[in-house]
Amino acid sequence: MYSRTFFRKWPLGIFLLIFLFTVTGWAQNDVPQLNDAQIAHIAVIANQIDVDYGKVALTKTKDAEVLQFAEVMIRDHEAIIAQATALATKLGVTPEDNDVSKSLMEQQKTMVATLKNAKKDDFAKLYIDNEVAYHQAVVDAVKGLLIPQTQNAELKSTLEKVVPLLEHHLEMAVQAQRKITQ
Amino acid sequence: MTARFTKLVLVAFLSATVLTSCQDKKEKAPISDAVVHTVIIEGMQFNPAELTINSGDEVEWINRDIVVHDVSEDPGKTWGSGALEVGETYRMKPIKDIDYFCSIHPTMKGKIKMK
Repeated sequence: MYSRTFFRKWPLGIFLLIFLFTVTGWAQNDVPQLNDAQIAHIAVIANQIDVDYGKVALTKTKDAEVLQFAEVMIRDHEAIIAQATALATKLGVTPEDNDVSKSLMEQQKTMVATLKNAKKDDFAKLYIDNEVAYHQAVVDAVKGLLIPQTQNAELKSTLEKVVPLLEHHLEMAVQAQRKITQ
Repeated sequence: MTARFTKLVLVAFLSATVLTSCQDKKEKAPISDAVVHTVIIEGMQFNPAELTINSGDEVEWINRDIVVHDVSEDPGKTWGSGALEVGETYRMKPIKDIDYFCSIHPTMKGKIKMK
């Protein structure tokens, strides 16, 4: 009972901790070593996860601003997936499954279930809080882990171009969070 | 001889008329210093974000970013470009100072000022 309540109240904290500790491994000073094929896979998965969260939002809320936010997330992240996939094809790189993307997918399953099971009145806050935490974690991971390890110049450039978009999404999420909290 | 002289006079008259007409048109043509200013949309920014133009100038926005954007009047969206896919452009001739933003990504803002 305690753990259920704890998890319901703190899914974002758990998500972020898992991401930072097991995915990036920064806290343990154990940074995963990734090749370009693995980095391409992580980039696609990380974008797909936010598309998935947005699609849940479209079915769970009638809040016009939250709906608009979710639509932007879906459209932008799908555009990035298309570009990343096209680049991988051009470079002859087959995105390669790896421990980081597996871990991300595990967390996606948990969070999607949490969002789907949320009460309608609680959903907007839960979704937006997660968007703040998720985008912050992804920005940190792209800047601190993926870009430094990318070898191919074109893939590195693509990742660098995505950073302002992710930071902008984070800012949009923080503004939405402020409105919900007020 | 008289007929030949008449022809020559007629040709000379017509030539003079045509030349005068061309000269008139050249002199009467409005002298336009209108310029097309370019705003590049890239890295989630309008660049330059603030632009000062002369009356009659046009502004063209080019989406060189990685996602769809638009150019809309801020805050009322009384006019707008509609969705600009990557690579698409939108051109307009402002007649007054305007504030604009991307209604898809509302923290992207820009200004056009008239001299």
